[in-house]
Formats: sequence, C-alpha cells, structure tokens
Amino acid sequence: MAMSIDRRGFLGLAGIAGASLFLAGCVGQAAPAPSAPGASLGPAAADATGNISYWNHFTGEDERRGFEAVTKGFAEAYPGLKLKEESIPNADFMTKFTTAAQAGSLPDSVMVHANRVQDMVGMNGLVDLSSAMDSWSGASDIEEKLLTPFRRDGALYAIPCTMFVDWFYYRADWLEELGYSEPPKTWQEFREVAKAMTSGDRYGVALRGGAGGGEPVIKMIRGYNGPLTDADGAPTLDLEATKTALDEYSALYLVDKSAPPSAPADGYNQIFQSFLNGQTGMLMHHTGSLKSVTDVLKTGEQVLTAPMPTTPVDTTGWLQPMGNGIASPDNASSAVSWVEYWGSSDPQVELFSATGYFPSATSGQQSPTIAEDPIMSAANEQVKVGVTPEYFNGMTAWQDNSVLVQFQSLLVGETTLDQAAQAIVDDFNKNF
Amino acid sequence: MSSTTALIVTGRKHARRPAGYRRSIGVLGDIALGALMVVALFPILWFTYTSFRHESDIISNPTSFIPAGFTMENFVATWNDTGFPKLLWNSLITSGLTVIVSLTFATFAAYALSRAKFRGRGVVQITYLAVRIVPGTLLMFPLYMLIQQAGILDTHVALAITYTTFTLPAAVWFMKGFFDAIPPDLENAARVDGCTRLGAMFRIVLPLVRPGLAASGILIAIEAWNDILFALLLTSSDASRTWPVGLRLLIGEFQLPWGQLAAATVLSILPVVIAFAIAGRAMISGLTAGGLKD
Repeated sequence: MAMSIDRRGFLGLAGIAGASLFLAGCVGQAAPAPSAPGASLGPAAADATGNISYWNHFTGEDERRGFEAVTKGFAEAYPGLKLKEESIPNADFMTKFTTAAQAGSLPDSVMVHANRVQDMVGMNGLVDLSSAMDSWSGASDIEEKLLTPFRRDGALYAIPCTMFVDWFYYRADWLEELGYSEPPKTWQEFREVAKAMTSGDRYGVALRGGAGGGEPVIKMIRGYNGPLTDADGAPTLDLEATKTALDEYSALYLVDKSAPPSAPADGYNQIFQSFLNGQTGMLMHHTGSLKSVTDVLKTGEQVLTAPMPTTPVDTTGWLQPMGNGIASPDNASSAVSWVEYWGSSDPQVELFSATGYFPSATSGQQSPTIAEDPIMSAANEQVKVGVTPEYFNGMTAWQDNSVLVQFQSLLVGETTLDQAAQAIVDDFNKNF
Repeated sequence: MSSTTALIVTGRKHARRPAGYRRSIGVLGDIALGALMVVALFPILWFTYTSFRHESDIISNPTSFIPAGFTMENFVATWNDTGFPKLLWNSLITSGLTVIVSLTFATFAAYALSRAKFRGRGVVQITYLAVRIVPGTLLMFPLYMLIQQAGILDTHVALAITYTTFTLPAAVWFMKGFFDAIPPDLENAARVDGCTRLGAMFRIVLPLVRPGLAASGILIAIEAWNDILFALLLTSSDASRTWPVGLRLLIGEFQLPWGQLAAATVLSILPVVIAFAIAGRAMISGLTAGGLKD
C-alpha cells in the first residue's frame, strides 16, 4: 500500500525534523571538566600577548576606582595581555558561576571568597595553584594563615589579593567625654564602655541581630570555643563555650541595655545608619567599610578604630582574605600572571587607597600609606593576632538558619540560653 | 418608626437606602481608595524625593520629610559617571525587539488557535499555559546553554529570545481572547470578495484587535524592561547590559549610594511612564474589552 502524504502532513514532518536537528545541534556535548592540575603553572613572559577573561564582584564606585588602578598597573606590567573583566554583583555571583560551570563556559580567572571555595571546587570550577605558588617569587610575602582558607585537601585554589580585617569603630568624642583614655581591649571592658556610653537617645553599641548577624555570633562563639576543628581537623563545638558566648553577646541587649531596641532586626544598613547618625557609639565590622564611615565622620575627632575585643580564650576578630583563582586551565599561563600580579603589594596598596581594603601581602601592610595612617594601626595590630576562620560545606546555611535564628529568638525572649546553645550545637554536629 | 433608621419603602423590589447612608458609604469608599493610593504612590514619591537630596542628608536624616536642601548631583553623577544612558538605551532596544518578536509570533499563533480547527489544538493551548507556570529560575541553565551554544551571549538578541520565551505564552492567550471576540463572518465575507486568509487577517481582523495589540505590547515591554535575572546571566558588558543590572552594579560590597540609586530608579521608570501616558488608554481599553463578547 503506497503511503500518501498531503501538504499539511509534509510540513508537519519537516517541522519536526528541523526542530530535532536544531535541538541536537544545540545540546551538543557535555561540558568537559577542567583538566586536573598537572604540569607546573608559571606566569607568562612580560612580552606575552593574549586575552584574559576575568570575573569579579567589585561593584560600587570606590571598588571600581580601586579596581581600575589595579588593572592599569597590570596593563603596564603586561602590555600584551588584555584583561576582559566582567563585574557581577556579589549576591548573584555564584548563580552566574554555577550556570557557567554547567555550560562549560567559565572565564579564565575569577575572584574567590574563601567561603565559596568548597562549592567552586565541587563544580570543577577552580584549578590547583600549588605549583604556581611554589615557583612564585612573591609567595614569601603572604602569610600561610591567609592561604589556609583557600586550601582544600592539600591543594591551593586562590591567591589572596586583599583582605577584610575585623575591628570596631568607636566614637572618639564620646569616649573622651566619658573620660576614657583608650578604647576597650577585652570583652568585659567592651561591655563596660558600651554601658557607659548608653544614656538618653544614645546607645553604646550597634548590635546586628538582623540579616547577616549570624557571622558576628559565630565569631563570638569561636572566641570562646577556640578553633572549630580539633587537632585532627574534625569539626568540634563545645556546648558550654557556645552558651557563654551567647550569654555574653546577648547581654549587650538583654542585660546592659546598651544596644538599641531595634537590634534584633537590625541588618547592615541599620547598624551603620545608627553609628553614622550618632545613635550608637561602637560598631563591630571590618576594614572593608572604612571609607563609608570616614566619608561621614571625621577621622580622629569623631571616629577611630580598635582591634576586636578579646575573650579569655581567643580573639573575636577574624581575617577574611579574598583572592583570585583560575577557573579554566585553557589560558592558565596568562591567568596566573594576573593572579600573581594582584597577589603582590603594589596593586594592593593602590586598591587600599581607593577603597580602604587591607592588603594581604605583608609588605603592602607595612607600606607608608598604611603604616603612617593612625586609623590603620588597629588593623595592623589585629593582623598579628587575628585568625582565619574554618570553613565547612554548608557553613552559610548553619550560620543563617541556625545560629542567627537562635540568637534572634534569644533576644526577643522566645527561647532560653540553654535551648539556643543546644540547638546551635546540635545543628553543628548534625551538619558537620 | 425611627426617623433615622426608617427605610424608605418604594414600590420597587429592593428598598432604597437613605441618601445620608449612601453618602457615608461614598465617603468611606473615597477614604479607602485614598489610603490605597497613598500606599501605592508613597514609595515612588519617596524615592523621587530621595533622588533630589544630598547623600549626607540621606544618611544623617533618613526619614526626614524636610531635606537639608535639594540637589541634582545624584542625577548628574548617575548620568555621567555610570554609563546609565547606555544601559537605558540597551533596555529600550531589548524591550523593543522583544515586543516585535513576541507580538508577531503571538498574533499569528493566537489567530491560528482561534480560527483553525486542527488535531491537538487543545494540547497546544494547554502547553502554552503550562510553560507559563514554570518558574524562570528552572530555565536558567537550559536557556544559558542554548544561548551560549548559539554564540549570542552578551547580545540584545539573546535577551529578546529569552524574554520571548516568557512573554509569548501569555500574549498568545491574551490575543486569542480578542480574536475569539471577532465574528469569523467578517473574514469570510472578505474572502468571498477575493481576499486571501492572510489578507483578511491583516485588513479586517487586526484593525479590530488594535487595543489588544497595544495592551499585549505594553505588557510584554514591561516584563522585558524589568527583568534582572536573565539580564545578569546573559550579558557581560555595557554592550548589552540593561538598566536593572546597572542599578545592581551601583551597590558596592559595603557601599550603598542611596541618592544615586534613587536617581537611577527615577531615570529608569521615566520611559515606562511616558509610554503609558501615550498608549495607556489603548492598553486599558484592551485589558477591559478583551473578555466581552457581544
């Protein structure tokens, strides 16, 4: 029986065939995984030519200005290498990175937050830089503790290009009024000064109980617990230490009344607003926010900085380096040149001048620009004693969904100290 | 009977309420509408007001209704220093392309669904609806891969194709309603007079569904104008970046320039306000007339 087909049928079949061919072409092959670290990665020669694609999350005016200074210096050092950079807002960076990793279209180099290394490596999105580091002359200018956050299973996945050093801002004029000659050094002194500053419309400390407030709580917990890993590297968290940390930190609000009533809901904007418009007298943050503070308050007269208060166990101040890694091995030699360039002190000092972001290179920290700035002395002191935090897979979720939630509940009286501490420790043990 | 509560009984089936009662209800209704208007308009008025304030004033007196002076510095900085004009232009091009592509395909598809009787017509209609239910985030990976494989990342076309994916289904359903309301006899009469089917569609039907086209076009344009997720994902330079991305990029890691953000927002909604001022009447008549059948 001959098969007959009319015009409509023929058009339908042709359409299906065409669509199938299109889809087959579009789906293509699976994205290849980046090649395993192999031969030594060395930088390109100074006269090398080519393009380097680079993703970063430097947005905002100051960061862009600082970044332009860095890229200008790179262009002078490597005139043949053209940096094609793309700025992606920090909150959306991992969305784009993950999508590109799935599609096999990662750039040559990317900016790396230490708390993202685990996820990026898991996606085959970062190349081991151990061999590059071993052969780099600038390696000795970086302290090992600043490389630790970028190491996983012995491999190194980024070289630090800047870092955020924890410190606290304080109203120098308020302190003088109260007769203090220097800022508090220990946590007990901090509480006393905060109480002394509190009167009328003024509060002693801007306490972050809202969005983003989980990290300061973890810093306090670590300040009483010590490292969150034991000698064998296994995660460890002590219940009594957690309870003491929560007790001391929440006392600012619950006992001393030296934090504003809005503290349980205060996020980044609110704590800075309260400090900048004179509602609060002390604000715990890090060097990254220096410019936004000194743009409003006069350095020396109104605002100064001090290292984070210490507990009987440890400091509560962290050092959080940010680095650059290589995401695609295809153009590794050129990308290594970029990563190592920004790992050195000169571009980091340029960045500092525009943004206040602290250099991770030791010689950069000691440059006259920083060493002779009185407000930076606190950062230099903190760098000596500050710790780089431990990062576990799922840390952010524990921080936001367990630590912060329990802390907020404690502040508003929905839970007790024992219950909050137990919940935090239980979640820690369950997840890690 | 009490004079204040007596019902005036008329010969009609339902008793009329006293004039005072009706007036009270009217006033209460006006108050409620006014309150809703304030709630709806207040954010727009507030960020417009913020855009004219000094940054230091915004930080030191964030909720003050009395500014420490007005300034145009935020608009000047946004316009001159951030590349915002280029991003607005990109948004105009992308939205325009999306409207052209989406509306064209939607019109033909809706006409076919309305007039043609073919096997699987119901399935096709339901499929259009089902696609609309899928959240955009689930389509991120496949769309990115398709666009990347096609080699059109960081182009206006990439965004237009992506936005068409989301706007086409709704536009098809919307336009189908308008085509259903036009009696087929009109086209049949034209075809009897020698018109082709396409000719009848263009000469007879499309002029009658102009309000629907205007309404669909504006809804498509608004959806394309406001998207940020795919604009962030599929663009990487000012060659094709749109204004929502530009707004996002104004925010630094520890910097929040409120004045510039407010100014950028005012600049971004101006084209939409102007477009609505021009075509708003057609849009509203399209939205309200689509469901009526004589």
